[in-house]
Amino acid sequence: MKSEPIRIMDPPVGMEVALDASSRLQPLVDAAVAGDRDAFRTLVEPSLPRALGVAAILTRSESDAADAVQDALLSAWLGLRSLRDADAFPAWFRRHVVRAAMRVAKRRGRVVALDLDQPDDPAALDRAMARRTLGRAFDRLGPDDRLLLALHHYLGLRVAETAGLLGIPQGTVKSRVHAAMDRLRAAYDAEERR
Amino acid sequence: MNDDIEPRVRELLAERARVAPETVERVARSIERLPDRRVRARTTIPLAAVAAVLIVAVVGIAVATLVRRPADVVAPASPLASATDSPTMTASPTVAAASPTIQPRPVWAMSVADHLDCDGPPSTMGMDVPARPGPFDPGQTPDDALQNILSTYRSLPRTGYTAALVTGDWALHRYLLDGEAKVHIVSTNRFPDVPEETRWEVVGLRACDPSEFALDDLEPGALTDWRDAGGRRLRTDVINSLAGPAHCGWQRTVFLSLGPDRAQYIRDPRHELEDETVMSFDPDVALPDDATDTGFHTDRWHMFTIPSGRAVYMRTADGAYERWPRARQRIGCA
Repeated sequence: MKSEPIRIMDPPVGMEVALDASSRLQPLVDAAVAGDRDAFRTLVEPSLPRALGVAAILTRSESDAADAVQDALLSAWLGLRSLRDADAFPAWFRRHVVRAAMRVAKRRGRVVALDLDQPDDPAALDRAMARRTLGRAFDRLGPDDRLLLALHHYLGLRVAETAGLLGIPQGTVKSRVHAAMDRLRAAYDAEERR
Repeated sequence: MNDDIEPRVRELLAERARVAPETVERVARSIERLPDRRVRARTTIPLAAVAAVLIVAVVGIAVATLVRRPADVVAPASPLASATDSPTMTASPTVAAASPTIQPRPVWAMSVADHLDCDGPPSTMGMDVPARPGPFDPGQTPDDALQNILSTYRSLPRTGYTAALVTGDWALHRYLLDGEAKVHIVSTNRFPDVPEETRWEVVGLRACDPSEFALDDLEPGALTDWRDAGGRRLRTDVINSLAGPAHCGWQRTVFLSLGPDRAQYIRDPRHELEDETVMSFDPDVALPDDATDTGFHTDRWHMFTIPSGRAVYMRTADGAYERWPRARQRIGCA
């Protein structure tokens, strides 16, 4: 099966965007279960940029993100036999990515301040300052909040998809995203007062 | 903060999510290095058979609270063969769940901390069932799920667990020491929202303080054995110290947490964290006149405190005194 080319700047519509029709997933999954790495590659490769993007948001490090996604590839490869529904592969693989990235994210604690390039234009400086402040505020959030905001605002998952991914009710997703945004606003205010 | 935060958050996340094409390619190449997968039978079939047998056994004894087993009972060779070793739990009826994601929840699973035999208050780690589901790695069996969570909670015992109660959908792993339950870990495969996967996932964890675990059952370095003047083990909410994490290069740094307010003191032999402490670490100082011998000790250090609390003093095995300064605020490794 021909796979889509790797794209780095896909619009945030979900990691499964580049996968072909789900009816074609079953033979690929069957082949991968039998040990066919090319079939597995065809399944996962279109998702890798988005997977790395989510992992980079959660881990705040490109190298950690790469490690996390490689862990996810390994766990998905080894656990493929447990997948009951081939059509669910994209969401299933995304769950592996999120788990692996969260493991890394939860090992990290202290907030690291980012260096700010100083542009000459005062307006650009203001924008850069605001972006830096927002970045620092985001870094003050816990891994769970960062995860929810990444799923919601980066991947653009629907509430039902997020609920399925995390195994929590849809109402809980809504309330937690709302609470995470409140905490982000509070963190932003705190950063502005520094 | 103004209301246009959401677009700015999306911009920020898109920026944070940017990774180099070389990184994508490197990760894609790693697929070639995936290990060969051995063909093996699905474990769910024997598990289901075992579970069915256990359900019958458990239901038969579920009329009341079970009798606590004697302290000298030896754990069975197979954890999943120990359903009748569920001393304090009733395999009782289930209740309708408030959550649509984990249901129905057995009564015994909803307050596992109540059934622990802790010498003091349970530790703060973990949660009862129902709980906020974390993204713990699932497994194909309850034992797999248990092993996955042990990699998350380093201060839990690595060994010594038995599966005390297993029904078709629920399992309770217990860590017993001298017949007393010190850790309860509940896992389930009741996830109607994720029907595409065979998975057992830990959804409940309650544990006594790590000082109540057998040292031999812990991962080396996961807990420092602090004792009082009488040689009694000290709870980790009284005193706890751990070496810094390797991924920050802090293996030689020691972070000491002391007292109910968890004041943090740092042994900083490389002087890397002096900006974070109220004074510097000193490996060889005179013990202040106002120092008080706490009696707290390990095999390496014997601790003294001073009234100001700005540092603690440690007598080393060779009789020298080290000064460990207090952190301005609790810190960790990014």
